Amino acid sequence: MFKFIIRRTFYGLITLFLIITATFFIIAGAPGDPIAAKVEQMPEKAQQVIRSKYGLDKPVVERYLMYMKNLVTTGDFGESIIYTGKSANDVIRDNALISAKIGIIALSLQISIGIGLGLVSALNREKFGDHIIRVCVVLAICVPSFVFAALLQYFIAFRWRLAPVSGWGELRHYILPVAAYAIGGIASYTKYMRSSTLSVIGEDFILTAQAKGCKKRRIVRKHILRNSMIPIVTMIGPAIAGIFAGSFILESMFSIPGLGAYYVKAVSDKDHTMIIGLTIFYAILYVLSLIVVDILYGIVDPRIRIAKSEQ
Amino acid sequence: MFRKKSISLVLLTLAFLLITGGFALNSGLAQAQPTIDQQQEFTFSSGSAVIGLNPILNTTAPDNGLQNLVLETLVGKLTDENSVAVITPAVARDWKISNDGTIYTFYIREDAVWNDGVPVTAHDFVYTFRKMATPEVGSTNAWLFDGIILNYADALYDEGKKPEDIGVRAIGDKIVEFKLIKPCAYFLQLLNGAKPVRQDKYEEWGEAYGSSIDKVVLNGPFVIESWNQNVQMTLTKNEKYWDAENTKLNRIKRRVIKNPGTAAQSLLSGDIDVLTPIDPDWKRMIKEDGRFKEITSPGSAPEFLSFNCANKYFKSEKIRLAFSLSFDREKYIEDLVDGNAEPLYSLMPSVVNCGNKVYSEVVGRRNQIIKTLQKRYPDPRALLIEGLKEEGLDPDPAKMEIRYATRGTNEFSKKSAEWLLQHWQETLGVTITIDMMEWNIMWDKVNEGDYDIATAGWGPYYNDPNALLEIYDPVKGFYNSSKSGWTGPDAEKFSQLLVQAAFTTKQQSRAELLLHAEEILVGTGVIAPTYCRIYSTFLADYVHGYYINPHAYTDFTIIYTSGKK
Repeated sequence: MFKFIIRRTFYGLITLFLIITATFFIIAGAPGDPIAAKVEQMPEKAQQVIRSKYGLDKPVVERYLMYMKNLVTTGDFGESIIYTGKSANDVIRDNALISAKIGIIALSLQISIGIGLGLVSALNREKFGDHIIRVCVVLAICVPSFVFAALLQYFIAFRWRLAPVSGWGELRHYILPVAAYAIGGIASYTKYMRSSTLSVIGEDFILTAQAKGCKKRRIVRKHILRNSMIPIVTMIGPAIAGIFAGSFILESMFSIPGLGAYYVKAVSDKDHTMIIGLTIFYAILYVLSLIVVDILYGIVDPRIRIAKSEQ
Repeated sequence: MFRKKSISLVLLTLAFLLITGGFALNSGLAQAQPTIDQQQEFTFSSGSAVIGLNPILNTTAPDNGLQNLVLETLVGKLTDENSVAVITPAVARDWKISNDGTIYTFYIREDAVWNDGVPVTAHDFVYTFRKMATPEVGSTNAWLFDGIILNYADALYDEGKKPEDIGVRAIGDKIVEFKLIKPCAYFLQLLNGAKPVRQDKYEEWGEAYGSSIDKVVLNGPFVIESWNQNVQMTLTKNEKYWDAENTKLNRIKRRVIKNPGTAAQSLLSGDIDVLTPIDPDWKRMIKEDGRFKEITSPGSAPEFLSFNCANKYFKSEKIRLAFSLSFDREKYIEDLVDGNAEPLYSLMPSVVNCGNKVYSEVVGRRNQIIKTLQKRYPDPRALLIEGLKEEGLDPDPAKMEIRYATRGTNEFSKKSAEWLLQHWQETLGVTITIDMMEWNIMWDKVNEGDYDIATAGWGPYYNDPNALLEIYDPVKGFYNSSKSGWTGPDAEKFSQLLVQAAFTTKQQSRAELLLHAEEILVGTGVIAPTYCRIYSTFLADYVHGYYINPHAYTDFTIIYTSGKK
C-alpha cells in the first residue's frame, strides 16, 4: 500500500508540473490583458509603467522560469495583479474553507440521502415509493441548481421569511445554499445507487445468500450495500475536489465569499497569478482525491485490495 | 377707553398671529427636520467587493467609492443638498489659485488628523504625489496628472526627471503648493484621485498597505470596524474627524451582493436601505411596494460606436456618417433599455458641466450634431453609396464586409448588436458580421487596430467636456491614431482646439472651442454617440439626506434616518 501511494504521488507531481506549464502558456498566449482590467482607460504609456511593474513586458519563457523558480523555492503562487498586496495563497487560505464548509455539508447530505433513497427505490422496484422517488429524481436532475436557489430564495427567504435572503457569518446563512447545492447531488446519487443496487440484486451471490437462509437485513448490509457502493465511490473523488471549488452561481446568489467567485473573476480579469495559483490548488485537490478514491476502493472492495497486493 | 380697547385688540391680534405663525413655523421646521433616530445606521450594497484600501494602487470604482468615506484629500468632490456636484473644503480649509491659473496653494486645517491621532500635514501630500510619480510603484491613478503637474510625466515615464522634481512642495507643515504646466480648469476635481498615504506607515507595510484594516491609516469621516472582503464591510463614525460633530451616521454597512435579484429582495426585506436596480421587473416590484423614494439621475458615461478610420470603408467620412446617421437613437434605447436612457446626438451627456454651468446650455444647445446632420442628409443610403464610389469601391452596400466587435458576450451585448445589424440592413442594405467577444479582448483588438466598428463607452474622470474629448486626442488620447486610425487635417485641428481650450480661462470662449472640437469628432463620424443611461435609485422612506450626482460622490456625513423600525 505504501509503495502504491508513493508511486501515485510521483505521478501526481508529474501531472501537476504539466498542468502548471500548460496553464501558464495558455494564459500567456490567450488574448486579453490583465492590465486592461485594472486600467481600462489608461493611456498606453502609463499602461507600460504598470506592465513593467508586474514583469509582463518580459518574454514569456523568462516569466515562466521566474514563476517556477519562485513556486518551487517558496511555495508562493505569486501576488495577484488585481488584488494588490494579496497572494493567491492568501485568497485560497481565506476562502477555500468557506466553500468547503458548504460543500462538505452538502456532499454529506447528498451521499447519505442519495444512497438511502437509491437503496429504498431499488428494493421497492416498480412499487409506489419507487415511482415517486424516480419522478423526483428526474425533476431534480433536470432543473439546474440556480433555479432551485432562486425558488428557495424567493419563497423560503423572501416570502415566508424562514431564512435570510443572503449573507454569511451565522449558522442560518447555511440553510438555503446547502439546500440548493445538495438537491441535484442527492438526485444523482439516488439514480446511480438505484441502478447499481438493481444490478447487484440480480447477481448469483445474492441468490446464494438467500438460499443459505441469510436474513434480508444482513443481505442488504453485507452483500448489496457494499457491492453497489463501488460506482458511488468513483463519483465521490471528483466531488471532494469540487467542494473546495464552490459553485460560482450559488455563491454569487447567496453572497457567499467562497473561492468560486475569485476563480471566475480571475479568469475574466486575466489575473495570471490568481488563475495559475487556483488551478494548481484544484489540481492538487483532484490528484489527492484520486489517490483517496483508490484507497477507498480497497476498503470497499476487498477484491481490488487482493489484486493489488498480488501485483 | 376706545383707545385701550383698540390697543388690546391689536395686542390680541398680534398674539394670535404670533401663536399661529409660531405654529406654522414649528410645523415647517418639523417638516424640514424630522426627528432623528437614536440609532443612526445605514446599509447599502454593491455588486463588487472592495479590492483594497491603498489609494495609490486600488483605484477601481468600488475602491474609490469606499475610500471616499474613509480617506479625505485636500478638497471634497461631493453632491450637495440640491444634487449638484460641488468642490468643498476638506483637509484643506482654504486654497488660492494664482492669476495665471498655474499655482494652487492649499492651507491644511489644524485639526485634520489621522485615526491614530497623528496630524495630517503637507508632507503627506508631497509623499503621496511623489510615490504616484515613481514608475516602480505602478500607481493606477498616476496618469491623471500626466501633462498637468510640472515635471510629473517626465518622472513617471522616467524621462529625465525624478519624483522629487515634480511641482508639489510643502511650505512648512500646513501649506502645500502645486505648480502646473498650464491652467487646468478641472484640477480641483482631479485631486479626488489622489487620496493621501502616510510615509512612515507606507515604508513599514510596503505594498501590503491597505490590504487589511490593520495595515492602513485613515483620515476620513468614517473608520473601518470590520472587513470580510466578499461579504461586508462595517464602518463607524471617526470621532477624531475634524467635522465629527456634524456627521450623523454612527454606523455604515457596505454589503457585497452580486446577484441583482438577491439585492432587490434584500431591499424589499429591509436588509439594505438603498438600491439602483437595473432589471425592469424588480424595479416595478420595488416601485409598487410603496415604501421607497425614487431618485432618477442621468449617468455621466456616454455610449458610442467607434469606427476604425484606417479601415478601407471607414476612412471615408461619408461612409462613417451614413452608419452614424442611419439609426433612430430613441427607438434604440426604447427597444434595448426600456427607455431608461437619454439619446445622444453629441458626445456629451446632459449632466456635463463647463465651469459651473451645464455645457449644452453654455453653447445654447447647438451641440445636437447628429440631429443637424440627419436633416442635412435625409438619405443615409445615398450618402453611403456616394462614399463607396468616391473610394473606388463596389457601390453595392450588400457587398460590404464589416465586422462589429461587441463589448462582452452577455445577452445585452448580443441584443444590441443584432438590433444594429437589423437596422443597418433595413436602412443601408449592409449586413454586418457580429463578433461576440469579452470586453478585455475587445480592448486588445482596439489596441491592435483589428476592428471595423467597436462598441465603446467612457466614464469621465472629471466633470468637463475635455474629459470625454481628450480620449480621441490623436497623440495622447486613449483612442489615439494608432487605435482609431484617425489622422489628417481634421485630427490635427481637433488636437489644436483642445490645446487652445486648455489655455482659455473664459468659460464661454472655452466652451465654443470644445464645441468646435466636438463638431469635428462627431460631425465627421469618427464616433457615433448612442445613449447615456438614466438610473433609478430607490431609497427607504426613512432615509434622509441622500443625494446623487454622477460627477460627485454621495456625502455620507449628511445622511440620517428618521422613523426606521
